[in-house]
Amino acid sequence: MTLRSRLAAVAALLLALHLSFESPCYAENSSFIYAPEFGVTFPQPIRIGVEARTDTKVRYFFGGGYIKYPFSESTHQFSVMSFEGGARYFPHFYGLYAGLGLGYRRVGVTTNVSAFQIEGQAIATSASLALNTIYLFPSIGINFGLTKKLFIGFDIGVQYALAAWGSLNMNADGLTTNPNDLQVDNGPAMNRVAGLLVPEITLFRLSWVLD
Amino acid sequence: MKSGWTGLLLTGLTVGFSTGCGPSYDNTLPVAAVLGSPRGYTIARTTTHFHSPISWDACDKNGLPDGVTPDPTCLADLKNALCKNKIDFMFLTDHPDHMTGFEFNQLLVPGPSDTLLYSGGVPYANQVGGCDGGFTPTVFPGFEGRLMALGMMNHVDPDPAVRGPMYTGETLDTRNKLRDVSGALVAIPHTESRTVSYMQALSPDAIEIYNFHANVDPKIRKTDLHEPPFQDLPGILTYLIDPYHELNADFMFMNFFNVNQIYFDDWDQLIAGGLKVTGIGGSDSHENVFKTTAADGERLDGHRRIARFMSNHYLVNSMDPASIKDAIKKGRGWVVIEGLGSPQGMDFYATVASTTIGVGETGPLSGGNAVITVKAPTLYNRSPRGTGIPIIRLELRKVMSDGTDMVVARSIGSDIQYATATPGAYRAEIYITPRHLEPFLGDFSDNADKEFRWIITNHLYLDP
Repeated sequence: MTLRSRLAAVAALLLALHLSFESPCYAENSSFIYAPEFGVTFPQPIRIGVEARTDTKVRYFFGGGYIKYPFSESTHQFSVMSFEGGARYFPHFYGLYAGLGLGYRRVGVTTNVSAFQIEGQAIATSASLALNTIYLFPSIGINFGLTKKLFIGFDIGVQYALAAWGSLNMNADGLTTNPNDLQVDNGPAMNRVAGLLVPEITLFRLSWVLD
Repeated sequence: MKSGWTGLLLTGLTVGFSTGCGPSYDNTLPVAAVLGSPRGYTIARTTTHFHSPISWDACDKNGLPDGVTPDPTCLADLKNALCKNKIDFMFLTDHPDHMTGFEFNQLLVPGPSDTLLYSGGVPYANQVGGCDGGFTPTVFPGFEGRLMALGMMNHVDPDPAVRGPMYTGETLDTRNKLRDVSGALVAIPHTESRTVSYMQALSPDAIEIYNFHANVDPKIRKTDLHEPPFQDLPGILTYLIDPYHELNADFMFMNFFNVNQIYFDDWDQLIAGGLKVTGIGGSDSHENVFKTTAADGERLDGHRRIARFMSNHYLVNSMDPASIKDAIKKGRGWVVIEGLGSPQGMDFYATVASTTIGVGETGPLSGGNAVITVKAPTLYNRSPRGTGIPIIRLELRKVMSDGTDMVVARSIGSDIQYATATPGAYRAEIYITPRHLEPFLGDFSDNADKEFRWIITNHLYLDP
């Protein structure tokens, strides 16, 4: 485990412990106020979700998104789907908060790879990559009201992989018709790519508090 | 305490976004002569299959932008590979397409600081200048068609229209002209796609027992090596997806390197059939697959990187063209996967009474016994290394009369001394578990616990 991994894990663990000590929400409150959310984020471009608020310093969130580009079938295609749930801790300091979430992300890429050639011959015509990641999402952000019910938030964090796996399918016209030849099973390399540390940025998130 | 976790989290995030490379290392190779002087010979690091910008498909298929002048960047990469890897002798093997039409001095890709060597008024080799420390590599021209000509002294015919078909041919006449007229060694590249009978008929001076291109090319893997075509591709591509610069691409080869058994099967059959043919490792570097740079700022398939990973070490009497060609022809040397580390103190020979029969040599048992010695090499002390200790395992193999081979002696970390009265061809194979590389391998540190072929010697021959 690298130094980076250890520090991220320690930070996440301490945050979780702190939240558990500071947020006896279920003891104090049995009712939640819900606020649907809409966010423009990275790497999930559009995310919708809901935040459950209590009168403690802790709020809970769950959201997800899916996008595929282009929307029609094409030789180049990119898709990303993710779900995330967790808690945000507000110390009542200018709307700042720290969050910790658990998420799942699936990224799919299909692209033409004929530019990769050996002795003038393309290695393959196209490749389809699917990367799956279960990640921890520590973040910091700020959230404040535009009106009594409409809120806007920004945050930044990282998606730290807890588990990652992937698959690669090649298309090589004329080379083989055996599907086993085209399905690549190279665990360490695929897992590494799927498990790369990814920043998660919320460019903005709008939430509307329901009565 | 309440604000403490925020600081810690921020620290975690900050460190998380920073780069996380392993320890730095010297990516140059040592001068081969420091790796030992087996039985008084000098070790010469040699590359036997390499493409200059003159090859039509080298340098992203644009090695000659104006049709005549080699691309300066790609040529500089080639010379950088020579200098950084301390390659004493490089045998260029350009594809005949353009090479046929070039005059011989052009094939030497001379630069302003280079010195040409002449024979009979014709330049035949280029001593490349400008390397650090006064190191002077020597480059020879040649070609790779169906046959591979190593170290041509001149074209086989002054007329390109006459020599062109010869360079793409594979006849005995072509072989003879390359040897007799051009002074070249004749090798067969890509032996994974050739039959034993074909090679026996051509009786070359050398055959490739490993080829980098074949190791990674999905078509060759599928068709000739009978391996899953794309199996190792992620292990290569992952070096292109390295946003935090965590990987050292000089060790990328550990994700795919494998000497397919087909090479040994063919070689064994040739040797058993009486053809004392030299085995060479082919780098086959083109700079034409991945333009993208790796974490070190160099192309993933850069000449320096590809040349670093494998060398041929030959034992020469002196560092001159005649000596290296003699050593290759006789098989007086071995293939080294030098990206795993440079071996020091390697040697392989037999002693019969007071006579020494070295690798590549033949000697009689005369009814007596031979003691075959495989010296256990150590890791050169300036090779990249962490605290782990490599495991070095030695095998002595005998080629059997049925065209197979058999391990007749083995050891771990110590010399083999094998006494035998059995005539035949013997070679040594040395394996390494490169635990010393663990800090440099990032997420592929498991490779440090895998055993790799490190050295494959040529044969020595004991006659009755």
